[in-house]
Amino acid sequence: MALTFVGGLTLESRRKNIVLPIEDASLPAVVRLKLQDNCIPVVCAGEKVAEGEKVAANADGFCLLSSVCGTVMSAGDGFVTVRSERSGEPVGLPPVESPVVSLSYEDVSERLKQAGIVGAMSGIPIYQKLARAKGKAKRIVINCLESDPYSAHISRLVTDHAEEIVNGAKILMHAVCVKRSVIAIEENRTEAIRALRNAVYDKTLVSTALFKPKYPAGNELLAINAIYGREVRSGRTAEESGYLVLSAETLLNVFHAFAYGTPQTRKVITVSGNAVNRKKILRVRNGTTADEIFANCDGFAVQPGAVIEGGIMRGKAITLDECATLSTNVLVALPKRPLDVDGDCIRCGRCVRVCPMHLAPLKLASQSKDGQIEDCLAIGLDACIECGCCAYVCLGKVNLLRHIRAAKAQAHPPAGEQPQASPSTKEGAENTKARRLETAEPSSAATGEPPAPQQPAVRTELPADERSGTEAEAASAAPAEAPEAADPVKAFYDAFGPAAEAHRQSAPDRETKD
Amino acid sequence: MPEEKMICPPFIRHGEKSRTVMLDVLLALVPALIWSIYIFGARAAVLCAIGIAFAVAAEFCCDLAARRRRSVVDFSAAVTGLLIAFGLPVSAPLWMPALLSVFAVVVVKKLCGGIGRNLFNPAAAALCLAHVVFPETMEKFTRPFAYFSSYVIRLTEASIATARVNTSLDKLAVGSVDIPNIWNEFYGLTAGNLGEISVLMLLLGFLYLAFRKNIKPLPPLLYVATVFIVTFFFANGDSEPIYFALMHTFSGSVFLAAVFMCSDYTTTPYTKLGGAVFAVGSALLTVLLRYFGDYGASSYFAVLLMNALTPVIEKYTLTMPFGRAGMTAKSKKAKKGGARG
Repeated sequence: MALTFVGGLTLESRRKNIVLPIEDASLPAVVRLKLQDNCIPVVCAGEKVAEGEKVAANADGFCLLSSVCGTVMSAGDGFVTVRSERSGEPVGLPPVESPVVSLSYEDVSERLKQAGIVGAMSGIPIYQKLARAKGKAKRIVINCLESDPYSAHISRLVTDHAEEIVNGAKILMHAVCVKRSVIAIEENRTEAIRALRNAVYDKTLVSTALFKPKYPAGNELLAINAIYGREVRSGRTAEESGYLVLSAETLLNVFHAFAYGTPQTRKVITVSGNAVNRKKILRVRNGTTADEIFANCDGFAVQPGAVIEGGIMRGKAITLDECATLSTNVLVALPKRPLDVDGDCIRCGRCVRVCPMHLAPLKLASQSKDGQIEDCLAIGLDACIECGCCAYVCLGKVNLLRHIRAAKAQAHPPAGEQPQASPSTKEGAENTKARRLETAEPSSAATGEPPAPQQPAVRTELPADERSGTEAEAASAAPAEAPEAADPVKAFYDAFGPAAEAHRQSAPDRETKD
Repeated sequence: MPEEKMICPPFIRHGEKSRTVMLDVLLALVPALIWSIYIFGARAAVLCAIGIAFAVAAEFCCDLAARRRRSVVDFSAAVTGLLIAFGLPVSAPLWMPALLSVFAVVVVKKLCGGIGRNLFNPAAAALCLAHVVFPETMEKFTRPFAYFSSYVIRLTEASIATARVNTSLDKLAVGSVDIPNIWNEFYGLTAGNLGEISVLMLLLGFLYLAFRKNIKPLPPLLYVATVFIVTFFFANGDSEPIYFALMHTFSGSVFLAAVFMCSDYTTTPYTKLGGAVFAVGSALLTVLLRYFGDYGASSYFAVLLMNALTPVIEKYTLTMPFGRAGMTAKSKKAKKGGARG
C-alpha cells in the first residue's frame, strides 16, 4: 500500500533505521556565514553581535542572523565571519501578539523574513516559496522523507517534535489558504509515524502518505508524483503547479519562529561515514566549519580520504575548512578517496530502468561526450535531478553523473560566462580552451592557486566539454581541492602562458564583439 | 596532476560489474554445453573450447594492438565464442569455430567500436557468414549419440555418412511434421546444431538469467511467443496447426536466438518498448525467412536485420521525460495507494 514512483533505488543496507539522538554541537571558535540571495552585510568588522542578531539583509527584508555571540571579524566577499565569545545573550524576535490563525499572509511573510527561515533541503528562503505558492497552492506536503541514504535526522526530528511540525504546517496553511496538507513519510519509520499519528487530531486537515523507502523519494517532484500521480511540468516550480512542499525541519523552524520567536541559526546535520569514530546527528550553528563539526564526533578514526557534503549520492567533495550552511544536511567522511571511474558503456540499460525522471542517462552521457548539447536538451537534459541513481547501477562504471553535469554546465553556463561554442571542432576546442584560460586566470591570481589542472589530451574519450564541466564546477564551488603545483601543471602553464597572454591582449576586442 | 581531479558523486556504487553479468551468461550456457557433449560426444567439447579460446585470444590481441584496457577479463569474448560453437553441427571441421570466432571478435566487434558499441551481434554475424560461405558444412547433421573423433580436424564424408539424418527443420521445409518427435525436439534428443537442440536446457539458462535479473525476460518470451503464434496461424504443413507451430518453435535456433541474442545488451534496444519491438520484429523475420528461405540460419539473419534497426528503434521508443507532458497527463506508472490529501 505504500506509495512509490517509477525508478529509483531501494538501497537495502540503508533501510535500517539509524536511531540516534540529536545532540547539540559545541560552540565553534569562528563562524563563517554565507551571504545568499543578494544579502548585503549590515555590520562591519569589529562590531559586537549577539546570537540571533541581524548581520545581513537583502532588499526584500530577508535577514541573515548571527549564530554566535561575538565580534565580527570581516563582512564582505560573500561571507560574514564572526569570532565567537562566550559573553552575550541570544536575542530573538518579539512574541506574536494575535493568535496565529488570525495572522495575515503579509504578517507571516514578514516574520519569516525576519527570522531568516530557509528551506532545509533547498536553501531557498521560505518567504519566496510562500510568495510563489500564494493563490496557487492547493496542498502543502510535509516532507518527512530523507533526502539521502545516509541522512537520519529528519525522522529523528519528526519523532521528537511531531506536534510542532504539524503546527508549523498549520500556520502556513492559514497563510496561503490551503485546506489540506499531507505528511509524506517512509513506511519503515515506525517511531516517527507513531508520533505523527498522535500529533494529528484532524485527519481531514492533515493526512499521512506512506512511502516505500526508495532513494530519491525526498525530492519534491517525486514526492508529488508518488502522492498525486502527476508530473510537475518541467520548467515550472512545484508551487506554481499547486503543491507547496516543505521539509519537516523547515516547518519546525517556522513554528519556533512564531511560538518562541527563535530565529533560525541552527541546522540539524547527520554526520556519518566510516572515518569518524561515532556517527551522530548534530544541531550545529550556521557557519561552523567541517573541522569543528567532526570534532564533535570524537574525531577521526582514520584520516579521511574525502569529506562529502550534501549526501553520499549527490554531494560534492569539500575541504575541512568549508563551513556548513542552513541547507547542509549530510556530512560524510570517507576513509578512502573514491576512485574517479569512467569505464565503457555496455548499453545494458540499467540506468534507463532506474532513472526516476524517465530519462536515458546513457544516451545523455554519450551525447555529452560528443558535445551534442542540443540533442541532450531535446531528450530531457533539464529534467534530470542529478540524483545519481544511474551512476550507482552502471555496470560499465561510467561516470554518468559527471557527464550529465558537464552537459548541463554547457547548456546553461553560469552567469558571467559567455555561452561556449560547441567544442567538437578542433577550432572550437581551442577557442574554448583559450577563453577558459582567460576567465580562469583572474581568479587564480586572486587565490594564488592554479585552477583545476586540465588533463592532457591522452584520454581521447573525454574531450573539451568534460573539461568545461569540471572547470565550471571548480569555478562555482568554493576553493575545493588545492592542487599542489606539480610539475605537469607547471609545464602546462609554461606551454600555454605565452598563448594565453597573447589571447588576453586581444580579449577586449572579442568581448565587445560578443 | 589529476590526483586532485574533482571526484564526482555518487560515492557509493552497486558492486556489480559487467564481468559478473557475463559470467552469469556463461553459466546459463553450461546446461546446453553439457547436453551437447552428452548427445554428440567429446568433439562437441573440443569445438566449444576452440571457439572460446580463439575468441579470447583474438580479443586479447586486438586490445594489445590498440593499446587499450584489457577487456578480456569481462568474459564477453568467451560468450561470443561459445555461442558461435553452439551454432555449428558436430561434424564441422575444427578450424570452423576458430575462423568464425576470430571474424566475430575482430571484424564485427572490435572494428565496429569495441564492447558496447558494436551494431551487430558478433555471434549472429559469424554464423550467418558460415551459412553463406560454407553452406554444405552447415547442413551435415548427424543423429544423436553418434560420437565422432574429437581430434580429427576434418571429418570425411564417409565417416559421417552412416550417421547423417535430416533434422526436423529439413522435414518442415517440405511441410512434414513428425508429430511423435515433438517432445524429442523439446528435450534435445534429436539432430541439429550443438547448442540449439535442447530447448529444455536453454530454458534452464533463461530461467537462471531471469532469476538473477541479468536480462529482461520480456524480449525472449515475446520472440518465442511470436514465432509460435505466427506459425500457428499461417501453418502450411501436413498436420494440425498446433503441432506445426510447436515443431517450428522447438526446432532450430529459435530458443538460442531468443534467450541469448534478443537479450544481448549492446545490440538490442535499451528501452523496454524497444526490446519488445526488436523481439517481435526478429520473430516475424525468422518465420518469413523460414517460409521463403534458408531454414537453418533464419533466426540469425533475422537478428542481424533487426540489429541494424536498433538505433532507430531506440530513438523512437524513448520514454517521455518527467514533466514534458505537463500536469494534465497523469503519470501512468505511478502506483497509487495509501492516503491522499
